[in-house]
Amino acid sequence: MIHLRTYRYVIFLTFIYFLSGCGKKSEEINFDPSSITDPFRWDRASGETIKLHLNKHPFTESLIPTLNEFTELTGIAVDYSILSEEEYREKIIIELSSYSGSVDVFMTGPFTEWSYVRAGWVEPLEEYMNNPALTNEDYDLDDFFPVCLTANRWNGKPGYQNYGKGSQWAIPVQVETYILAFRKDWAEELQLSPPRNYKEYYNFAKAMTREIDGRRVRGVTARGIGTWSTIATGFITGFASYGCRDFDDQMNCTINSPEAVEFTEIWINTLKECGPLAWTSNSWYDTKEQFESGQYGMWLAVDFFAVGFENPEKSRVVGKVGYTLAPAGPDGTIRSNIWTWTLAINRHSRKKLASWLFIQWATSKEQLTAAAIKGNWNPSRRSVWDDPKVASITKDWDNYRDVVSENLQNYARVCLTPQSEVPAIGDRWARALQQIWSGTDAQVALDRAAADIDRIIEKSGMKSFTQ
Amino acid sequence: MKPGERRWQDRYLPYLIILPALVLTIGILYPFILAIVYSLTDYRLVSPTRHFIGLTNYLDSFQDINFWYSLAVTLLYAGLTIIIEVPLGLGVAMLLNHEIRGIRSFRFILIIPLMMPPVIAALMWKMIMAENGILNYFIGLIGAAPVPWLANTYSLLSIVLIDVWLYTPFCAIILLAGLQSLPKEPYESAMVDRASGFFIFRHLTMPMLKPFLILAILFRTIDSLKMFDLVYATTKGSHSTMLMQVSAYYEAFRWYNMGKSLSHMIIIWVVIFIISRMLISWWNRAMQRATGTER
Repeated sequence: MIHLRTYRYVIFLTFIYFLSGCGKKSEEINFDPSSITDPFRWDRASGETIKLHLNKHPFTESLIPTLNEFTELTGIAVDYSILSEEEYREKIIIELSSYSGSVDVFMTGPFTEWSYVRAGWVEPLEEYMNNPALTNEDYDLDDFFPVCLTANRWNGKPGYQNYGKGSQWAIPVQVETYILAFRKDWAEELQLSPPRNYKEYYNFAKAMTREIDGRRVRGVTARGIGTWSTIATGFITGFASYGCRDFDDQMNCTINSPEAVEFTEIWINTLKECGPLAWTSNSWYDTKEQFESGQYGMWLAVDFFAVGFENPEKSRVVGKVGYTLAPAGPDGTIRSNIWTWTLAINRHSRKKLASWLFIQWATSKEQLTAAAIKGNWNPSRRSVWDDPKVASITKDWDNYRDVVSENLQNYARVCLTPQSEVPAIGDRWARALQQIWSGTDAQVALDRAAADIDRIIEKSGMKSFTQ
Repeated sequence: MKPGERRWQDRYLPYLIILPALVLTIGILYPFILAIVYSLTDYRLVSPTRHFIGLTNYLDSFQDINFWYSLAVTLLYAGLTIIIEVPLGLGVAMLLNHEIRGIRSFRFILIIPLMMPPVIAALMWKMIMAENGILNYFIGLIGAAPVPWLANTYSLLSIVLIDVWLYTPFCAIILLAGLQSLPKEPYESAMVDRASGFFIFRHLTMPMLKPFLILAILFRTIDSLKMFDLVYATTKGSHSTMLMQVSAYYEAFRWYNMGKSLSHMIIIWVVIFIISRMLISWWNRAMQRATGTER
């Protein structure tokens, strides 16, 4: 007969055994890039295998078929996994938080990077980039648009004053800014000029909302789901242009300042009166579909969505879209947020040298030119942007090329304050926008959100960092 | 071998036999115990260290208005789905309980939604409920304005509607099985006594079917309180559809607060456990009454 007590002991001891194994971390591998001084060689890490974690993206799709070229050049084998964006973001956190070095190179970008940097998951790259023994002389770092590199530099301290300072954490493979895409055929018909400020933005949307051949069309569309992507795209572009900030220098939340409330009211009223019926469930995909189907008049959108607008196989608005800069704020300021997909090295990777060689190869002029031709927009390198084959792709897209160039040159920069809690804060902020859209007073909703955001910052320890 | 001394096979064989059950038990309980342990820590995915903080995560949640809001929305969602699905399922089951020509085809059609993965069903309904979707098209035919089905104001009810479409067949199948297992004699006696249809339904069918009704309510309660996929696939958890499971997901994988997320999961587990225990004891009493073994 089995004694119940024995049985309990067995279960208990097994739990203890399993629990004691939890959270065991691999030793961090300290690789000193400055220890290598002999001339650069691609085959320096020959024989190693690196593991990539990639997001499903045009860059990835152009990269994968060419991986064997990298292996031939360097002798480094590449193993990879690709997931759709949402799954990817979850999986990469799980992988990096295991501190196991199970991933060597991964895709990230400015806002998510800030959390990872604070967690100590990302290897700083300046010592690799600046070491001629590790970086090929043809690499040409100065060829990247400066704003793309700056966006991925941070000293780990919260506050906008720290933007673009400190280590280089990742190398951009593409860049997206936010520009106003509008129906130029409708604008001509209504004898309207594209809006230059947010009062005109509202009036433009209002005028475009009407019946055409018995079909209701609307003046504006935008993302509306309750996540930070709703904040970090068109909304923050307008918010920053309007002279508003998410935090002051002491990291007090300022999304409820008078000018912030004023802008938010304009943004939400425009959407309520002239936007999608179910705005709060509008993902980027829904929004893109709506605009491409010809039902909407304008969208302060990711610039390279023009690829879809101008695709005759998918879009009903080919040749009908005009592009212009985001409307200016009351004092004439124009800002555009940016996002760059980047490649970074896991700080706990045991193959950092091979990983850097891979990043260097994957972000070289040749690779990024090939990627752009296959649809990886917009290029993060100036030489790729100016490449005749790349330039010819956009030749029929109205003034797209000029607008994006001007935006990258003069107006684009990360508009969110660097800090490690962007997802939690952005999600909370987006919920406040949804509440306002559903009828809550803007000041009330933003006051509540600001109080919650201050608590998030306080709990994360970011506040004490600034003092 | 001395008298009374057992051979080693006799001593250890029982342990060997229960080994698979033991492994299974550990497989089930290990994540659960680990979740409880982590819910008592300040475990953040972006922090390499974690410390024991006792009940702080639970106390924080109880002081957080968003937590109570989520819990209220979850209970409302579960209540609405059960109130609609069980009576509707009963109606469908009663209609399908007649042996008429073609009834087998209807029974087959009934289970089609059940064969569909919830995420696929949600995405399909998202298209149906889109601004220019088929639902608004039909509404337009009667001259009404299009409805923003998945916008904040309506979204919870819209997801309840999807849930009803998806899971009413589940209730109907359980109740149909119940109806078909009921004894014929009481009905024959009632017919002889010329009892009305309503009388038969109220005094015969309902009491005898009660264990099956409770079973349907039990399964649907557990499922509704755990709902995630329909909400996430349609609204990503907008303000008015922020169910507990969705908020726990956000807390863990978007905001990195694993300890706090797990405390939410444990709380919802306690809620499910209490409601389930009540329903199971109700079911026991109903079974005893239905089988005449009531003490």
